[in-house]
Amino acid sequence: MKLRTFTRKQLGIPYALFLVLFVILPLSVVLYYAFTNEQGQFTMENFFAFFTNTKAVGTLFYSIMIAFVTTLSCLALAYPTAYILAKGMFSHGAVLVMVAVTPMWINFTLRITALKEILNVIEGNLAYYPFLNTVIGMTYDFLPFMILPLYTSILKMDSQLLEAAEDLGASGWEIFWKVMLPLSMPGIVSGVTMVFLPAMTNYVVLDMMYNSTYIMGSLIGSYFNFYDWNNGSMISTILLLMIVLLSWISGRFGDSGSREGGASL
Amino acid sequence: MKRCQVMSLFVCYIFGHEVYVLMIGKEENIIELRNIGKSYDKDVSVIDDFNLGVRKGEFVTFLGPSGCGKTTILRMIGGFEIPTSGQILLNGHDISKLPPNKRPINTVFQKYALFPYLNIYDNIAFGLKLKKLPAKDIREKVGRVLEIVDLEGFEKRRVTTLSGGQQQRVAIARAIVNEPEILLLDEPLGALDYKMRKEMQLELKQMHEQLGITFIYVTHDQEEALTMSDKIVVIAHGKIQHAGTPEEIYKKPKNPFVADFIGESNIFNGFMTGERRVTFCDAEFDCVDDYPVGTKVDAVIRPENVTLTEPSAGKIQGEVISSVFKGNFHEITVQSDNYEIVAQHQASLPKGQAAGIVLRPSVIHIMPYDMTKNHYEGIFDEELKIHLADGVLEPDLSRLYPNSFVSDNKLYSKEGREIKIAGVQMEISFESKDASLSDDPEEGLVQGKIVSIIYKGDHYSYTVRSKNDIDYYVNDEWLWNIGDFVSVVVPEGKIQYGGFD
Repeated sequence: MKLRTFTRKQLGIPYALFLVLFVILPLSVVLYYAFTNEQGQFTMENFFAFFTNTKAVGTLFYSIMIAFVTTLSCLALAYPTAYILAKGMFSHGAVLVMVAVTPMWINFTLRITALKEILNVIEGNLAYYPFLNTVIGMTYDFLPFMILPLYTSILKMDSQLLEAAEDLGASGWEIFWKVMLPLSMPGIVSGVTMVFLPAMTNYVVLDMMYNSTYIMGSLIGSYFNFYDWNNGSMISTILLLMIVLLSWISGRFGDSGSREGGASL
Repeated sequence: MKRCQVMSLFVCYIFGHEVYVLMIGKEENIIELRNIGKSYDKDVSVIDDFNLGVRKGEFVTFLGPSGCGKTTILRMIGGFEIPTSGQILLNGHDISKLPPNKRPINTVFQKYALFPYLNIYDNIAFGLKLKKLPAKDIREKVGRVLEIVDLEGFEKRRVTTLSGGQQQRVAIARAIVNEPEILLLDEPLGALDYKMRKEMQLELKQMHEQLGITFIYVTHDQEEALTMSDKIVVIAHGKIQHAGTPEEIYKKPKNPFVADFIGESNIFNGFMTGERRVTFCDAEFDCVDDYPVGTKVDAVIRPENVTLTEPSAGKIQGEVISSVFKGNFHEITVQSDNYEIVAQHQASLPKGQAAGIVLRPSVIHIMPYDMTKNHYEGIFDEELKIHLADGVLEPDLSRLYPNSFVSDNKLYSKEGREIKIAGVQMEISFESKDASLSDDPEEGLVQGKIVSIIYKGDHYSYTVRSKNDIDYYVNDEWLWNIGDFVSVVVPEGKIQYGGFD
């Protein structure tokens, strides 16, 4: 193979360039703005300003709520679906997996607009249930990201373990709680990570379902719209830290869950 | 006890099964499989009319080649499969439809099936915790079984840090801690290395004696079965071939399959030529079994019972064609005309040396030949036909390979992939009662001369010998004469196909 003549270092150059230009550089800029004031002097003022601003903290709380409820409803919908798909209860399982993930291939704005029209017909006016509508929209948007990791982890599950549990006296529910759930934990963790974090910052859904800025993404957007780079950057930084913290926690949780069958995309 | 069992079978035969139930109480059978049948597809039955009683405290081993149905029977006892027909009685109660969690039976799985996210203690305590036993009792019981399996101090260890042998011990501990009435073991030592397996065999045997639980053990390793069991059930093609003590099975196998499967055997076709006289390998021998003169028989002789002597002193003469060192003996193969005889000898013999063979009457085990079934070997050719020694058979391929289709002399699966079958060996069998005779040579599968006729009341039992000296058994209601040239007709639908093991 000709490829062999490249060293590993040489092969890494394109991505390294990309990384520097589009990840490290912008992040440094964000960090710079976050810890400086308008005059460009170092300050922690922006950090404290966020936590003393009731609207900002309220938005953070609201975002977490939306993300939490969305994750829960995705999990409740995706687990049975993934189970049915993985256990091959239908003869054309592969086709059904496709159907489950096909929405991802349709333009996002188009999907949400369609959903909006449907909900409009059902509810009369979207303004009546903003929270519910947002959760529905987000669940609809993120469901495939929950189904896929669950599907892979249930697919990998050793059916002999379920038989062993039944053999030892476990009833249907006990098998689920004591064996299936722990065994699918890696799938649950990666599914939750892939839904919770984007759901916290996604503002397009919220914006379209109900003209609200009660979500972190839109809050940041609103600061930037008024050329307040410093405060906007600080909020981004705080969010980034929270996400890093959450991934760290969920990663540890996934590790202790099971060494076997760690599922991810 | 043994006479009682024979009696009960006899009574059952005469009066039907109600009487049998009464007899079971006396027999103390803890588990009773009655007329068990299992089929996954409508037409393909895996287990057919399987009957077996296991006494309390027995160590019973199901022994058979892979795919013989032994694991399916074990899974039906465990509750993981429901029999299509028949009953499974536990202490006289029908449990055939009970789910596994309602049966006082525990299983040691082939691949251990330990819960990877629990430590050793929690794995073993799994069943006890489900029963909501007080924590103190659980701790005591787990401690006790850990002692039995020799893993004290491993409570906090993770499953993945244990060796295969240790994991298997945990699996055994997890099962016996529930104090089941029956412990099922599905090839539990299959994944262990030779030395570990030997050790575990003895330990399992000790555990069985110590616990007094009934063990039902599945294996394809005949040596393992002989070492451990009180009773061995040899299974092939979903049917019991022979059930008995290891000694009975080894010394007096019921049929050639058992003789061949358990240990090494010399099996020869022969026939009775006098009172306790049998002829095979072109020589006549005294034997201890007696059957009517003329009965076709199989003679089975174990290699360790074949004595090699000077050519002049032997009943059979031949020359050594191979000599292989096997540790504590040499395996010598002697050829005499068309026959090969394997013997165990203390010394190595040079190839080509002349040798005589002596067989004492007590070492010749005689089995009357089963003339109700025909078994032959065949091989697929390029044109999807099966070649037998005497003829060519056009099989119904849709029966052999469901959903397949043929196009241009090639076989395709449902998805359109070609299935290559040229050169595949097949076992062809049909029952004598399904075959008939015809004087049209074109009509039948094979042609030959009738060499024997036995009148059986409502039909005649014929032996037809082809020009290749292969015998076919046919039941026909019409009278033919010895020496008639006939062809053997078998409807395609009555032919059974089996892959080669």
